[in-house]
Amino acid sequence: MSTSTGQASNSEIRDTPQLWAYGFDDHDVIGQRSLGFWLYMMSDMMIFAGLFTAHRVYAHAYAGSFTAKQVIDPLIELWPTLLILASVLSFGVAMVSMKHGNRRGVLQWMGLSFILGLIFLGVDAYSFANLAWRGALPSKSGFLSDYWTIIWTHGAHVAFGLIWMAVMLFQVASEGFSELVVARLINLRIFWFFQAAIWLCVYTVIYLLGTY
Amino acid sequence: MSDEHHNPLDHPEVQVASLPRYVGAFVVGFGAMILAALLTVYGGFSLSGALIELSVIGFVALMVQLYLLFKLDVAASRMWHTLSFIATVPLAFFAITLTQFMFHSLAIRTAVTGGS
Repeated sequence: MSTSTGQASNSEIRDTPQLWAYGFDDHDVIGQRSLGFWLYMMSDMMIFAGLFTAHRVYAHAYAGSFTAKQVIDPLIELWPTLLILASVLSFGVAMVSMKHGNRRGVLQWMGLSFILGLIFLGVDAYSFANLAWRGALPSKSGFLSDYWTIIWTHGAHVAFGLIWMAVMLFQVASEGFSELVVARLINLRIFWFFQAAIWLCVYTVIYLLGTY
Repeated sequence: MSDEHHNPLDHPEVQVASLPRYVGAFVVGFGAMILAALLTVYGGFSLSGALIELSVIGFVALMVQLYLLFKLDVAASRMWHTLSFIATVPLAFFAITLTQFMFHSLAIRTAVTGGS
């Protein structure tokens, strides 16, 4: 692997299969960051596994308070479903624009994705403000504390994703497609797409199965 | 893999973006949720029937999302993402089912009245 002086050229290292390329300074930054962030998202999935477990345990723990049918309407909740999926689609179009080196397209489509995500959070906030006004607070029952926790854990993820997206809008506009900006956009893509997948689970388990 | 990729836009993670797949994920995901909502509201299923029906629709919708959005397959640039996902799914499954099993029978095993 190394020459008599202990140094190896990159071409020598590329031609020699080895576990660890000492002195090889041309790392795959995007690939490494993508896989590392994906592993983080796998651990994030375990948070939702715990929350779904709690939901199955407390699904009917109403404690004489509000029942699921009194606080959940599956048809109305299709609107936030449409919003988060449309936001993900818009972000996907932004990624296709990046693939073609179209900076304006990335900014436009990611901006639309940001707005749709913001409306999603607004609809959630309005819905839960209405619940609070009716007195359906987390302290009322096991079901309600679980319901608030799951929806707002997802909401916190969306809020964090929106902050991240706002930062990336600024970085793409100011720096263009540098290696670090592209790596961050790829990680944001993983994070944002994951929110859609989690929401499908939330909608199916909480809003549909929860009404039985 | 990256030593020839001086332009970051040439990276496989960037080139994997695909408009037809993203549109497909949106159509299948939202379509499945509309179908599931209509069956829940108007279908008249029993709890066990709903559990099966919603599990099937939810599972299909989720798998389609994962494949179309993340392109989880065995291609060289995706295989470790796919493998780590496959390794995590049993952890999530056991975390949910075993904990639910323990808590489901907790009252029966601990309450003085036998959970009645």
